[in-house]
Amino acid sequence: MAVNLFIFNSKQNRKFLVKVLAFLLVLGAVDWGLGAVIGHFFRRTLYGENWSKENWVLSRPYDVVILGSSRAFRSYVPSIMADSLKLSVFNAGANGQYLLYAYALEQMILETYKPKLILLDLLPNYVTQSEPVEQELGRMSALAPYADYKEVRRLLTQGKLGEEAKLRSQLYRYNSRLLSLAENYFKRPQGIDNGFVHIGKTRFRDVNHFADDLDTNPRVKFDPYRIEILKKFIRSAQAAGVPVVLCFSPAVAPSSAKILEILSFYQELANEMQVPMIKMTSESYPEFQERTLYSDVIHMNEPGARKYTPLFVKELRLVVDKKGLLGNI
Amino acid sequence: MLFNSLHFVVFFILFVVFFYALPHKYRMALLLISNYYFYMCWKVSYVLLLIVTTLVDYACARAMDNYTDDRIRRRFVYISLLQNLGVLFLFKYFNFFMGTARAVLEVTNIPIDLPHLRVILPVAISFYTFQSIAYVLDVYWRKVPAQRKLGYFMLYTSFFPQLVAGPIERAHRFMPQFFKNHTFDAVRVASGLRLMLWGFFKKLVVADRLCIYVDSVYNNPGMHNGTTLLVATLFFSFQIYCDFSGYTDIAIGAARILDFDLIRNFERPYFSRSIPEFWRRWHISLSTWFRDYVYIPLGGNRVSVPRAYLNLFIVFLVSGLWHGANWTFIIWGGLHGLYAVASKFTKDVRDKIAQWLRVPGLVRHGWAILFTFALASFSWIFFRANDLQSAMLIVTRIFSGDFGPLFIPAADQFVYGLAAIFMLLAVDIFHENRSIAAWLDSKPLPLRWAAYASVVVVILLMGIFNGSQFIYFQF
Repeated sequence: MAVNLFIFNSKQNRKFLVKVLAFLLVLGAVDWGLGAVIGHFFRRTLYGENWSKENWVLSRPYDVVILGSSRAFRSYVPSIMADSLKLSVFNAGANGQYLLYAYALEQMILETYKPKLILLDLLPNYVTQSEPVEQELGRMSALAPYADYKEVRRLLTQGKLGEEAKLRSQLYRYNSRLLSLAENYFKRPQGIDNGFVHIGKTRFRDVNHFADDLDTNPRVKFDPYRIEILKKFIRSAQAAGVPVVLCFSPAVAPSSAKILEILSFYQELANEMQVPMIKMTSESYPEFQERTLYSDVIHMNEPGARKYTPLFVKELRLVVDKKGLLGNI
Repeated sequence: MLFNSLHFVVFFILFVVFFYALPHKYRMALLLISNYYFYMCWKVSYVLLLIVTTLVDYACARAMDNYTDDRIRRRFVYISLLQNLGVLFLFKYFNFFMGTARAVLEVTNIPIDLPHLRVILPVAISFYTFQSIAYVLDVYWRKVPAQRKLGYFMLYTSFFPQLVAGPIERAHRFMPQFFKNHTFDAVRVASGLRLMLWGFFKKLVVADRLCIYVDSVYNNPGMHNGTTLLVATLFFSFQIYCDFSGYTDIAIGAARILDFDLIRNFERPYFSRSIPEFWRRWHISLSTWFRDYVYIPLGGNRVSVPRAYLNLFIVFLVSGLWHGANWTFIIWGGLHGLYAVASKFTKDVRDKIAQWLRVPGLVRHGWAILFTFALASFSWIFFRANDLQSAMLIVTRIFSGDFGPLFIPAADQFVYGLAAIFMLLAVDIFHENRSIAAWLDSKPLPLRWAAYASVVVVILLMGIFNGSQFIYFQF
């Protein structure tokens, strides 16, 4: 059977092939060039919504970095901690993101600089199956501009056929970001304290319960994949010589049996991996059962965060001093 | 395998290379294998149904060729129709009719337990059964000879670019294309690639972007006011147009690259000045199918005027039912039936009034386009709503003057949606007056490439890459 080399059969076809290849080269150059221009502006957007927070935390070395979800974002006031610890502090907690995001951000930070301390604010569902992993990974598309970081790329492409090829495009990384980029580029820090946004006193609304409390299954379903990620989070910091402290900030709702079970799991894991854990539930700190300190069931408002942060620093100092994590601070 | 997936892109590139690299006699075998592979990517077992219906229709058509007596030939038509419509009924309509009957029985307190089939609607069933029916009827009416080679008939019913959502082809213009020697023509291939690129723009940048807003509103209509529901409805008008015509552009473009010509399915329908014109520009292959195989056999317009109107109305009602087994689709079809009848009924009066008022042509045409778009958009409420109750709620809210602030969950998403519509309209308005392809071809190479590269850049920066289904795949 003779193979028909159709493309080389006529001058017109050969010309077409050359044109197609040339066009693909032009397209590659446009993608690279325009992507580089957008990337240049993107890296200079430090303020605005969560997605530019990554640039901020990577823009200069911070001594203490707080990682976690919206609870981390809303509970820790960096300026209070910085004044007390005499260290630079950045709150990189992010709305709508959980452990996988915190892990990815930690990897980006460790590749860029070595902080003196990493705090990971824990959420019960960091290690449970209350949400499919794919869904959590889906929300991490916000990290596409950072796909050059190896671990970020691995997470972004995990289980997604063709994502690796798409991420080779520089422009694709900024998909659906141009408007927010333009908006954030011109923003100046107003009411932002190294990642913490001053929202003032907000009225309590009975919403946003812990995902595991909403799960009707009476038993906690631990997720081995997520547990491994948490272990990797701790191990990679330890390997880089950066101490990690796990912490749990208060919530207005009393800790249910499920939450207590997850907390004791965290404690066992902390003991096993020899990292300190600061557990501040509203049972151990009854003053945090006051609803005026919260904007909803699990998120503090600004007065809550201002009340909580000094108490947390006190606890942190005890732990740090006891373990000699930071030398004399 | 979705057109908007990397799987398809890789499959198609490999297919094109092998298709042209092989000698002509092997190409159709490769095409047949690829067609079935493409279809089996959804669910392997679906292919059995496609094969069975193809075999029965092939046998019926061949049998008809052996007889001259129309009474005997008619028996084979009935067998084929029974099979095609039976399969459609079983998989698509059985549960709907049982559900309706159950509701009626509940109201009348008759305790009869009606069955419910646990079946999943096979992808593309409405399209390939209609294409097969067209073929069998054409053979019966002696418009085309029965295809003697089974392999070629299987190619006709399963050609992968148009298998899943059309355009619904006809044997007389499509079947001969499988016999010709397909040559790699650079001009055709470039034209096909250009059409595919525009199809991807429509799907990824416009349809899937608008889908985010439309879904968030239409899935919870009770939570939104009239303003929001109205905007979501207008967005859906553009979403469904770009979703379906985007699919069609990719299908026609892919076929063109393989040296096949598929029927045009869309002609910028939102520039129509009446509902009958809308249906000459929207899903053209289905409209002409209904014209040729339902409307004309019913008597068409060669009957009394009231009967012709009734025929027209029946056609639209059936067209609604073809789209989906739900009262919302039937009402959608019924509305278009009413629009079409009213349009024909009032045409002379409207013309006279316009003449008497001396309305300038531009104003008249502009008004006609807007009014037709409004009518089509109103009917889309029923097409998109999750159920009849939701549709009625949406209509009530929009028309009760419940206008409050517009729901905008993410301002940038909304702006991207508006920008996408703007880009689409700009191109369509240009295209309405002159062919974009011809215009581009008249321009120097750098300008053409800049235009193509711009579309790629917009797709990369504004497209939605979540691999969402095409709306018409469910039919």
